Amino acid sequence: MEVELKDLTKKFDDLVAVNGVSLTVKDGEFLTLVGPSGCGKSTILRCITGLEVPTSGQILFDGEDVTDQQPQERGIAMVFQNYALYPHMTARRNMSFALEDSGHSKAEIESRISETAEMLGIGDHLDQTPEELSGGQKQRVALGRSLVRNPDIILMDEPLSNLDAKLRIELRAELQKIHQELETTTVYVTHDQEEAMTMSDRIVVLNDGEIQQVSSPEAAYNRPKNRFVADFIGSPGMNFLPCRLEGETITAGPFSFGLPDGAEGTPTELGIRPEDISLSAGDDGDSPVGEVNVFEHIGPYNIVYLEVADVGEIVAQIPASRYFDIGESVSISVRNDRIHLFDQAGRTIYNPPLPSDADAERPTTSR
Amino acid sequence: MSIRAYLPGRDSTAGEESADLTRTERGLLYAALGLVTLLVVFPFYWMVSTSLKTGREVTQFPPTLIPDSPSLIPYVDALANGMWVSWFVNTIIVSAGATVLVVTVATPAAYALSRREIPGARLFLMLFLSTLMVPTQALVLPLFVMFADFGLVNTHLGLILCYAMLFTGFAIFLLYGFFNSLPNNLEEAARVGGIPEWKVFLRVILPLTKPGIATAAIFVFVFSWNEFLFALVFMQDTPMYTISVGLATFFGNRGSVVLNQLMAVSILAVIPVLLLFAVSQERFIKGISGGFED
Repeated sequence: MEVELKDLTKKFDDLVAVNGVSLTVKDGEFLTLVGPSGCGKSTILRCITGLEVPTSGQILFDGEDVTDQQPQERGIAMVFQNYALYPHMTARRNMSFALEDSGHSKAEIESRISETAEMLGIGDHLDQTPEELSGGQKQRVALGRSLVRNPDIILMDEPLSNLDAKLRIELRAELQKIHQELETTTVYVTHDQEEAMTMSDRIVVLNDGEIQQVSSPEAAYNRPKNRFVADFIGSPGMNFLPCRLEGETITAGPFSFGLPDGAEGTPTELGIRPEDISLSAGDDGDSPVGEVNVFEHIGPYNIVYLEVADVGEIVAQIPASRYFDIGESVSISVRNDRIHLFDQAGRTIYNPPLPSDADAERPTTSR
Repeated sequence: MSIRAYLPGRDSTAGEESADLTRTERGLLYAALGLVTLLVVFPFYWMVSTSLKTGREVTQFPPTLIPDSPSLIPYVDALANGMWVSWFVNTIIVSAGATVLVVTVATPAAYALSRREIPGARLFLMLFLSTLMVPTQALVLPLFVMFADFGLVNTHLGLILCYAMLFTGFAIFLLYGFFNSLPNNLEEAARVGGIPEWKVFLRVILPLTKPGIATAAIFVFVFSWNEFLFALVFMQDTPMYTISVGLATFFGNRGSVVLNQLMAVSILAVIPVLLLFAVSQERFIKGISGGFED
């Protein structure tokens, strides 16, 4: 089912939580709303469920206006961060509860539950109460409770945030698999940009109740529309250096770059992704020099925090094989074609071409 | 913080604190606790002890702490000299009736106040609370006149309605706090799951509110059981008395207060309440202290 938001605004007294958001979630799409806390992502989700009534604007399901419908009428399912399982019912009853009065036969409910439980790997836990289940099992039951109803739309509000890191990654992959299988329209809310990047067909980056960018995860990463998106997406985050344009040369402290073709406007800030920085030991006499402040072993790569004169701290991501001591001086080099440029208002005025130089949009998948 | 945390040695922090106490301080602490316990327990002990004494020993001076020859005769005598069974039945009817009525009215009211956006909800809550601040003595007379018109004086229903009026505000307030402690998410999950509103209330909310409802019910039952003024005014015929009024008018068989018999029936009157507490103690404490535990 397609979900369309038209100029959606939600105010809580004087606080504008969502400000004029227009958005279409395509049928069968996995769309993620991502942004820092307080950006309005959960409020948008709650408006889609009907748990919040928008101050103004419309919500359409397949073209039908549902703005004034009760949550019960909308044919949706929601998964909550804290599971929200009925504590006085077994896992099985949690899953069957919504089906009991909907005219399904006992046998059909039973078979749907066992099918769903099988898919989610909770078949052995159906007779336990939520209290007896682990966090991961609880969220699987909650997911099962949503799926048995064959909803038209599934909404997920930070479903993995209460789980530990390993389980989070495991369930992340499972959610993707389930979505590929069922192709139910899914709107997913998270503050974790990595989750957004890994799971979604498209992501919607939000800040202060307004949409910053709607695009594929790759495009949000490589071609951010503004400084906020550039900063929010990616970990470790992009380095931002204040810069000046003199003729055709951009200067930021000890760094200088040629103004790339296609840059329109006056850059006041320069952005460099940590992986676009390469380091070499010692002062080569040519490149800007930084002093190693912190060195982090991540595993597949290392992260180096450098102190650079005139610009402050810069973060670089280097191959796991390279090693530097704390306090060591290193030469820093950045490829001229890998810089992002932003103007005074924080708008992007230049993004480097994609590494593959393909179109920013992901090639459309099978649907 | 719970009372438990103040008791020495019950958990780690309290344990460390008590380790800091010197021997004298600890001695003083226990002496104070002992004194308070004595103050609370002694009247009850005195009641029991007196109820087991013979008529002569009751009037003895100085009084004896432990009865010389304890006997149950005062109990038998007392029961033979009053309409105790009727009074007991009256009290049960009125207390149970009031409890059912109050809980039935207060539970949905508290839920609505806690969860629904009702214009003036705060005002309603204040109004309910303000019923607790009116001295009940001021209400007796107007209510009596009104109830007399309706023929409700000297009936169980009349007294039940009085108690409902007296205790519903309190029950709403208690349950309101309890509903507020229930996470919103459960209802939201049910609503989004397509569960109709009445079923959300009956099947999701009510089962989780049981400790709160039980607490409110116990309070109302005990309040009603002990209530004296309204029962005295509204129940005019001796057979309609409740236990509390019966006790107050009990003079024994010789026309003067017979202390041992009075104490004997007092104990009998208190037993149901004590039993109720004993049975529901755990739930009761949870209900007033913890609220909902996720």
